[in-house]
Amino acid sequence: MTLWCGYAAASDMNVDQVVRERDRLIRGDTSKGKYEMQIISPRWKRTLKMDTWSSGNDRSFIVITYPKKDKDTTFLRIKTDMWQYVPSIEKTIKIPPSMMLQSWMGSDFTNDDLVKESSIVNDYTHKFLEEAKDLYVIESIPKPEAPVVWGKVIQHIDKNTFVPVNDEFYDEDGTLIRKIIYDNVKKLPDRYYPMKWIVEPMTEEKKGHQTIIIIDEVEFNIPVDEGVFGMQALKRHSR
Amino acid sequence: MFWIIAWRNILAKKRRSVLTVLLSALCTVFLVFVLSFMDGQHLKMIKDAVEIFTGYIQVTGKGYQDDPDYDHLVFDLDKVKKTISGFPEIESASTRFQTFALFAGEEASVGGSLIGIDPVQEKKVSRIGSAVTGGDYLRGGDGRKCIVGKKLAERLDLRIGDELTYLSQSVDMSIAADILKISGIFSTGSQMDSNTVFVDKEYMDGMFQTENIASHYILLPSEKFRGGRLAGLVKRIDNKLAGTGAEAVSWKVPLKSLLQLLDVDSAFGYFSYGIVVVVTFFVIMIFFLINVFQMTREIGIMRAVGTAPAQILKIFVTESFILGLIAVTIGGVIGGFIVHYYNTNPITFDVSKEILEQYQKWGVVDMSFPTVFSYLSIFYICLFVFLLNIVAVLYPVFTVNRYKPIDAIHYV
Repeated sequence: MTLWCGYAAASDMNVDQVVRERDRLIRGDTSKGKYEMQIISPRWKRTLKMDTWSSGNDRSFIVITYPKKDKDTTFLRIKTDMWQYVPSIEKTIKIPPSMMLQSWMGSDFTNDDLVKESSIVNDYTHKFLEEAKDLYVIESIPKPEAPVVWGKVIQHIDKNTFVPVNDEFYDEDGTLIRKIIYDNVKKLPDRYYPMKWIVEPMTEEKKGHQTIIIIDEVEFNIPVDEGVFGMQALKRHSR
Repeated sequence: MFWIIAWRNILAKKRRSVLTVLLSALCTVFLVFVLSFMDGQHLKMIKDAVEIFTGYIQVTGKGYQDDPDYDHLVFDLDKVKKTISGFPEIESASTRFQTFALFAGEEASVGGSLIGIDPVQEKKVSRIGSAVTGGDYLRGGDGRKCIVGKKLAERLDLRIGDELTYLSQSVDMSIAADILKISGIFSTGSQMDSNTVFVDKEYMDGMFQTENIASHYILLPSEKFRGGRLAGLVKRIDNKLAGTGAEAVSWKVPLKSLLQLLDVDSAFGYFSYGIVVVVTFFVIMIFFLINVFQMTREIGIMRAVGTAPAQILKIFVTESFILGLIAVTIGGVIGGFIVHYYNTNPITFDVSKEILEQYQKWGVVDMSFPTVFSYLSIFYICLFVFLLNIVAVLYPVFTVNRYKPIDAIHYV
């Protein structure tokens, strides 16, 4: 095991480029997809299906398509603001900052995760931790003033495809809080992509919880209707 | 014999004796009052917090107190109710389902607690029913009617009759959202006023799938089990609940942070009052020191004619005993009267709204504080000041007893 000091010996890419490439690959400039989310708790298992659109790191739109009870609920995120439209009461509600740490739809993601995920590139300082045969192991430490919730993130990224293998999220005391495992890597027309994400909370109080995201369909860098990222879309796509 | 000599000493130095008695009596009055006031403040904060909403005993799912989420609910409420019905010590009980919700008015939205209650039973275990200051309290079978905290209504710019939207998650994690109609506004003076909405639990059961599920089952024990005997009762209930997935805790668990705050406040209080005690102790000791040294020659003569040092000590301790007893009797009676008066006529501070809000964050509902009147506390304080008097005389007498009789006789 060799300690790396900012540059990968096996490639010309520096650590920031690797992280940016991984992020670009996961997000794309634009994207459109159909996702399934399985939320497992010690008492329940629940499946959600949704259609999603995104543009850059700042805008995304989600329509819940399953189950029937939550169908047509829509979410719009623009930068760090988030709105939810609930068809049963025909209301659009802005999610206030105080609710950002609440679970999103009962999953192991918080609203804050959806809003702040893009900050991994800009809000953290990265360094290579070790050299494995096929992996970049990168430690990301938040910049002093960065508004982030994690104390440290360890990313394992495939050297050849830049597909993430797993991410480990630690709190400020260095305790492992959450792990995301990326699986079922599929070759899409322009990239490799993990079609199954498993989110595992690692704390004792969240024992038995798991969120699995299965990507049924996804397309990147395609033209996306700009209207989907407007407030009217919340209601329009709900119908 | 010692009593007579000691009494003559007291009469011979009237001014010093009166000053010593006065000082000790004032110290007694001060300690009786400030400690009763501090206890009164703390007791009121606890009683308010317990009776406004927390309740004396909470039955929750195991682990709920640390992780109040949907994994730690009471999932078989009927079984728990049946178990509790076997305790004649429990006067009343009420079911609650409390969850986090986003409340939205026309413009603003804020996060807070949505709590389903049994309106009839809830009135017996908490003060929520009597805290409704405008409109109507819930009656049972209220459907979408709700009562809203006064400050929350102000934050969302809502009035009685207006609609309030909430967004939350039912226990199966599906979206629970609805539009409620405000039937009443409540004001408890606590932080609940700024973040809580109450609805009928029956309504919540439909929206949140909480039939036979609760976050809390609040128990009100009979009067005699609300004090020192509460812990034993809680333990017995908790043992009986084994196997139901539920646990019983006293108010001390949910109000842990308030208790910690009060402990810190007490520590500061004792430290401040300790300074007064130390000053009083040294002043009394100086009085005795002056007195003893003024009598050094007489002590020398007494020693020369065969009086033992222990007998000298006994004379002064007896003197201190008499002075101390007079002082604490006067101080105890005056202090007791003052405390008794402010026990029935609480001390009320007139403070600005902003300052009151600061205090409310720490559990103070209003600025009216009755003192605690307790014979036992007054007795202990009197005993403490009395012992202080006895101890204060030891050093001066030990010092003078170290002189040889001949040196003492020639002491100038």
